[in-house]
Amino acid sequence: MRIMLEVRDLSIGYKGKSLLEGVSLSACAGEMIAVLGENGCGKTTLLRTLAGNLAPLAGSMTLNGIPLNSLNVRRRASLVSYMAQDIVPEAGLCGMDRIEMSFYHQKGLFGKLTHKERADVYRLAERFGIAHLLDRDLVEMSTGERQTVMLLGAALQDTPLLLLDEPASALDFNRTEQLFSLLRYLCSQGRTVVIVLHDPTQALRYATKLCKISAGRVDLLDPTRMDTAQLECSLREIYPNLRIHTDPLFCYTDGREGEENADL
Amino acid sequence: MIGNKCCKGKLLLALALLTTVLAVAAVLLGSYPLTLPDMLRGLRELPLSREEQTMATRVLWQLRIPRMLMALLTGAVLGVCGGVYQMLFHSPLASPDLTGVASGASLGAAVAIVLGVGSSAARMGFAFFGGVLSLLLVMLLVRFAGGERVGTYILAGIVISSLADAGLMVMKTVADPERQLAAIEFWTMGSFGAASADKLLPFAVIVLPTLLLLLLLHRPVSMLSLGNDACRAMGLSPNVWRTLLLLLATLSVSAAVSVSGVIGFVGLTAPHIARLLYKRRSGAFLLVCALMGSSLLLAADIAAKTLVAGAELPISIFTVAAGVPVLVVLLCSRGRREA
Repeated sequence: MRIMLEVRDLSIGYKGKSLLEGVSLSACAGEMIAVLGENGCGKTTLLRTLAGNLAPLAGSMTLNGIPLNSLNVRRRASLVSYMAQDIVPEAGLCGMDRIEMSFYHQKGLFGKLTHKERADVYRLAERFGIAHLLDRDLVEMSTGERQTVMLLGAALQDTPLLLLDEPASALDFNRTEQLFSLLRYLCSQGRTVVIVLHDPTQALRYATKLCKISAGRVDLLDPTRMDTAQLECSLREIYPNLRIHTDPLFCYTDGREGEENADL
Repeated sequence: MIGNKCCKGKLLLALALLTTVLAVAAVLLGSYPLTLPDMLRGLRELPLSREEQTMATRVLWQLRIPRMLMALLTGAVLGVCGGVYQMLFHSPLASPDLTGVASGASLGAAVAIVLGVGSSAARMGFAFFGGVLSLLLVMLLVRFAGGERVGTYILAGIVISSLADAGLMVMKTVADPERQLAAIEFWTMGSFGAASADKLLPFAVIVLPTLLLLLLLHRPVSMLSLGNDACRAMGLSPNVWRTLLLLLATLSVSAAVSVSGVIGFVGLTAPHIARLLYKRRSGAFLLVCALMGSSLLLAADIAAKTLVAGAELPISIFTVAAGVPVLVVLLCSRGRREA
């Protein structure tokens, strides 16, 4: 498979104080990388750097061979979408306002959504059970509802690379299922997803690779190339009590997700 | 959704109507009584030379209409800029005074008064220069501090504002207590009493294009209200746009303040009322702010010139008097929602 995202020897951190050094990652089109690690280990900093919100201290990042740092903001937004952790924005914007903004890189300052695009947004929102939220103020939503709106916004930005910072932290069980089913659909369309997760179960169940951050080191693990014992041993650096079993839920989600998302 | 849209259209229409009614009232009311027929005759007599016009027509074109337009535009500027500041700074407290413009302009005007600069146009120029200078200083300070954060602007605004206030105090101390001090005090309370046709043009040349641009650029304003990271992720450079929007807003506020003096509270209350009525802060929100600001200021100006026959009262008395109950209602509804 062709390598899409390539990160080499990246040093990240804030103003001269580096948090992680020598970060190297690569991801092919259609892969989902789960970033795992304890609080404060640099997961969010890594994502913010990849998203261009923080300048890297050293190293390079390329997407399809294009150096990400040389792009202007708008061009970059057509390649990379980023969903930050939940921040409660000042009141006054409804769900649809937020989603419309995801089209900024295509539409510019004055362009409006076409009827078809609007209908697409509503259809997708309906399937996620959030059509009623499109008219509601972001502040009046629950955190989980807001996360779903933000996620939809990121997905509709239509970029080859999606960076999601704990998108599932406040989602209920059904929404979490829907989230991963959407992400797997996006991956099947050749998009690459980098997602910060706190639950190793979700990571092992849905991600194709694991990016483990512990003790200032970043390792990219490929579960398909390791046996369970190796994987368990490696992940115990973060989760000391982890034990990996085969997953009875896998067949349940696998069969349905194709048809469910066929009309995205 | 569609019912919603229709409702918002009606709201805009109602506000536009209110503004028009107040504008006509502002033209008719005043120490020299004018009637509707006078106004219509005035329209007919416009092409005539000044000597051929009746007294009523001259009052209409030289005083009333310029004054009405100034109040209308200043209100719109304060309303829109208040809305823009509140969204850019994520703060319900942000208002056009925040960036130090009002204080800077006051200092400029006070310097002009103390130096004995005669013409009011020159005084206006001094005030405008003071306002723009304080804006530039704020921007410079923010750049120097390397601040990406919203709070940096507010802090820089407070610093420059205090500096200008100190300068204003110096001016008040050296001012001749009989004439100049009163003029400075009156200026800082705001009034449209000195409005005239020849002041309208330079004012409108600055204010109209900036106002129009701000109304058109509502998309970046609402994107910026989601914060720097989200904004950049969606493809809008937050620093570039924040600077640009602040420049536009502050430029128009300086122009407004330099004509009318410091007018308290409209920039704070108009956006809050607009929010209360319009419910959203996207789409036509800034237009609602503009109409709200205009209506408030026109109403306050009518009160300022008619309440005491033959005297001009400072307009801030009325804008504050109207603003306080609104803010109290807002505060209560806020508290109830959170409880």
